[in-house]
Order: sequence, then C-alpha cells, then structure tokens
Amino acid sequence: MNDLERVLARIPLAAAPAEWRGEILRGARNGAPETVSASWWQPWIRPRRLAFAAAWTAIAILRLSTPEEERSASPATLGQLRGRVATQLTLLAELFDPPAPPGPSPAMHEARVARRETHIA
Amino acid sequence: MPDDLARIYDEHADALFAFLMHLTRDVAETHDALQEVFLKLARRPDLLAGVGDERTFLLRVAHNAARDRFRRQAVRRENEARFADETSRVFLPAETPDEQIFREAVAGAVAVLPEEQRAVVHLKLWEGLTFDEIGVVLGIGLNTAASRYRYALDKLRTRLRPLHQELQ
Repeated sequence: MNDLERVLARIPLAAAPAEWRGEILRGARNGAPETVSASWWQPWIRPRRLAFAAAWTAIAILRLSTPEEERSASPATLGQLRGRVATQLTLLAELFDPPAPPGPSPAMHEARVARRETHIA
Repeated sequence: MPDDLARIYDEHADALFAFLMHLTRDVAETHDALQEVFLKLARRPDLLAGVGDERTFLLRVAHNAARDRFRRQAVRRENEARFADETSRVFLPAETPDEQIFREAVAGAVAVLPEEQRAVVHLKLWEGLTFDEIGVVLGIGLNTAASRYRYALDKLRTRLRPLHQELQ
C-alpha cells in the first residue's frame, strides 16, 4: 500500500443513519412489498410458465422438422408480390362485383323467336 | 431469524451503507437498496446458511441490489447530474476545515470514477478485501479487479495529489 492508499484508507466512513435501523428491520420483518415493482409482463407470464415452455418446445420441434430447403427458400421478389396482390384484388373484385351473366347469343335468340312464332301459329 | 436479522444489521449495515453510498451516490437509493438486502434475508432465512464470510456475501448481495436498481430505474443517469450533493456523506465529517476539504475532494474524486472502479476502490481501501475477495463480491476475475483498481488509483492520484501536497 503506497502513501496515497494509506491516506485514503484512513478516512473514516460514515455510519448508516440511526433511524434507518428500525425502518429497515421493520420493513424486512413485515415482508414489505418491494420498492421496485417487477416488470409488467412478469405477473402475466409467471402463472403460465409451463404453457410458454410447451409452446416454445412445439415451435422448436416444428422448426427442426421443417425441411431445410423450405426454410431457406428465397423470398418472393417485389414483382412477384405485386402480381400476387393484383390477382387477389381481381378475385376480390369478382367476388363482390360479379360481371353480368352473359345473355343469349343473337342466333339463339332468333331461333327461339322463330320457335315461339311457329308454336303460336 | 428476526433476532438474527438485527444482529446482521448491527454487524454489517454500516459497511453496506458506505459501499452502497459509493455505488449509488444517493442516500435515498442507498436506503432502498439496503432495504432490499434485508428484505431478501427476511424472506429467505436460509440465505446465509453455509456462507463462509457473511460480510463478503452481504457486500455481494448489496452490489447486486444496487445494480438491479440501476438497470430497472436507470437511476445512474439521473445520479450523474446530482451525485455531487450527497457523495461527501459517505465519510464522517472531519474535525478541521482542511481535512474536511480533503475528504470532500476524495469523495468527489471517487464519485467521478466509473461505477465498476468505484466498487473496487471501495472494497479494497475501505473494506480491506483482497483482489480475490473483490472478484467474488463483484463477480469478476482477480486480474480484472486488480487492473480496475490500478486505473482507479491512478485517476485518484492525479486528481488528489495537488490538494494532498498543499495540505501536507
């Protein structure tokens, strides 16, 4: 220990304030609630620890059982995505606003009129 | 345990107070961290069972309590701005003005050290622990503790030498 260390080490430390003794021991004995609350998610997760563990295990098993090539398939390009979105929009438009059903062709109409006239005559 | 709790307080609270004051640089934070230490002891009466050196173990618990508080509340950042007000309370008031000036300078010089160096300096100088024991308290290796101490002491020497020489 050098000179500075000796000088510093000789400086007496202050004691804890006397009034703390009662407060702290009383607080400890009463099992007072902790001054700092746990994170908001801890009380939610704690009772379901087993469920979360099971879910994570299932996810891990599914991931491990998925073939590597499926997992590593390259993502669709922007163009492909746009094409898929356009197709979906077209299908949706057809679903909610279907085109008018096609009417009878002119030839069929003429034949039908002719049949009706023959029948009336 | 209740009687034991009082005995533990009487034997170790002052040391824990000083250590926590050096760590937190804040009286209210020190109080709360000390409360957490004793709450933990009250809730787990077997915590000290089989512990070789109570003081070292309690310093470790106190260090963990202080660090948890830092993490949870980010009080460290707040303290950076206001530590100067309360750091001098870590030492007893001196009987002479010159000595008081020196003690306040020491408190200020220790306060501006990084937290991990403050902890090592306190445990080495004022608890008289070996680097091995400091490593146990802080959860670091012996060499890390020794190098942190060397860095810290160099900084303290630089800051305090002029004043120390002037007061001699």
